[in-house]
Amino acid sequence: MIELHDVDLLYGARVVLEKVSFQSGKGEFLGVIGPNGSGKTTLLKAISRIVPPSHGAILLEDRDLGDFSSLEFSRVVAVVPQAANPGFDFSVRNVVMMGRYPHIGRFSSERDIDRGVCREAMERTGITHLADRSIRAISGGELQRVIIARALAQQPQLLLLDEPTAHLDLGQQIGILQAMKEMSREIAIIGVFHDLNYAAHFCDRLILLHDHRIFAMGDPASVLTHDSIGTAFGIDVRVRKNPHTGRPSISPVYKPGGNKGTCARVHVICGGGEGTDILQALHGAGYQVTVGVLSVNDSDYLAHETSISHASPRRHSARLLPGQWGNWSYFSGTQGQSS
Amino acid sequence: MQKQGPFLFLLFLAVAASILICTVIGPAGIPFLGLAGDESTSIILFDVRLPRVIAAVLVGSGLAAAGVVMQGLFRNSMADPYLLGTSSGGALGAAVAIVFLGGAFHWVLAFIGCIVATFLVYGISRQGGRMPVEQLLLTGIAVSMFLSAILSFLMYSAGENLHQIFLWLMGGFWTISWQDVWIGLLIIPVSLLLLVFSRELNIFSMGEEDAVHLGVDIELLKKTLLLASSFITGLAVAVAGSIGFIGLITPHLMRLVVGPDHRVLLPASMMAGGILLVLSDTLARTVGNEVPVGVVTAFFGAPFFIFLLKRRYMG
Repeated sequence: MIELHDVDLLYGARVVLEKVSFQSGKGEFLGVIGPNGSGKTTLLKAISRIVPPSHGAILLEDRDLGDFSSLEFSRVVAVVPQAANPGFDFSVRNVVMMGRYPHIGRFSSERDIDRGVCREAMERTGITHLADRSIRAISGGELQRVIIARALAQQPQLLLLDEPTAHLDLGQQIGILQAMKEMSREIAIIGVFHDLNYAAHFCDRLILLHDHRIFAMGDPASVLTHDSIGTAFGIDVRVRKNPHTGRPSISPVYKPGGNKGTCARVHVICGGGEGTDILQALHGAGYQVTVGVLSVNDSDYLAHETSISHASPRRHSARLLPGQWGNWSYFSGTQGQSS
Repeated sequence: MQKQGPFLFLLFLAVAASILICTVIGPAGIPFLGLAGDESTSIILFDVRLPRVIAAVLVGSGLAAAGVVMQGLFRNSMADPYLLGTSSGGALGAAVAIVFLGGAFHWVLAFIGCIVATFLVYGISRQGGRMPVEQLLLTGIAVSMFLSAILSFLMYSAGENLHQIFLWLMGGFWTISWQDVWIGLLIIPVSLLLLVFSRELNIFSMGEEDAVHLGVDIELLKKTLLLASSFITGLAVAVAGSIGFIGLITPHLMRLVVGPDHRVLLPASMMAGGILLVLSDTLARTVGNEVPVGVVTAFFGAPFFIFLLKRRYMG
């Protein structure tokens, strides 16, 4: 459906992205991730024709983006921008109805089918009860859902989301993303994400932008690796496989702080993940920590390993005690990479 | 929209009533029964008051229509028809006519001044086929100031013409003839053109990029609306000088009553603007000895504007 071939994007004279090529189609929820300023939003703007590519081609249903008329284009592609800033206090119903503009045209008025589509869009985003409220009298999260409903009312084949959950609370974030996930069975969705865990969980495929190009692209497990995230975001993270979903789960490794220079040693006896929190806390507080006896695949082992690899070599006295069976392992902190 | 139908009809009746009442009110004091009277009564009614009343309605509705469009385009209910240098251009045109042509064709030059000022602003703020709204606004201010500087110089060197320029600047209807009414009538068809774009204007007021995403050709929209509204403003200024506050306050007031939907707001504001201006002008010509109507609109408009500002910041 949408294809980018060797696309370069400029912002003024500054190169934002170079040699971007990928395609996506119906049934796929494609996530775009990357640090601030890596060009995520610019990429969406290129696909939505706001920023024309300085080189390369973008094809929508095998036609160049420039070949579409404004109305034709907005019947195929809908955009949920990062922040909505309504000028006047239209009612929620009116704003959602604006999504029908590309289908209605200038001289005709709203038909039953338009009202039906709007009703469904409002139900999908859970804003039916707000229909008669002014968009300037609802919360940021509700406004975001109104804008999503307006985009759905366009009945697009391709939906572009720029951080769709930016203003929502946790429950609403999950609700909206689940609704989007369901939508993605029928249409193509490309979404920009800040939250890597949401990207990992909801997207079928990810594009990681870094250093003006596509740094990694593929299924979430292949893109969200310790190394790629470390390089792109400049932080140390722990990537685990979520046992419930099988998707990668990312948590940052917090730098040790406070209580510097303590010589106290603590040995923790734990296993099966019960010690993860206390191990991280102890490491974070600067204690010299030993743990065991543990199997190498134990989640507490991984927690300890990650924490050590992060600590400074001066404190690398922590070790795991070797066990007597083959699967047990000896581990010294000095082997870990320090950041 | 259906809900607003009766209100629009009521407004229409109010316009008709205003025309009728304001025509029979005046210093000459012609009562209803005097309608069938002598020739001088009929001259006062049909050649002095009626054209004046109708012109006031037309100019008022034109200024209100242009105000609605400007506020929608700039997504700001504090915008007015004179934002882009139209009034300065018109004033300069009229002043040139008064100083150099002894006042002949002053309405033609005022109209030309308005249009030239708009084209100037429009031309300067275009950047590679696009016309950012902020750019327009700032260019409008700069062009306004530049034209005002020339106007000030003209006034400074105008000598005995100064009084005439000054009267024109305050705006008024005392020289209105049927000819001015015919000119003012052009406001109606151009306003209907604006009405055709009111759905786009609704979407545009949600933000320029949003409008693009929803399929609105925003550059065409901006171009059309700017030219049409400056044409209307130019006509209004040519007929009656630059009368303030009607174009600013009427859309604001009507937005409170009928809501922001331009399909309703535009006709409602036009009718309300006509009523407000004809009432102001009637007040202007009955109280004292012909106060310029611009003084009346500013006298009532400015405090009301401050009230709106306060209300806005108090939430």
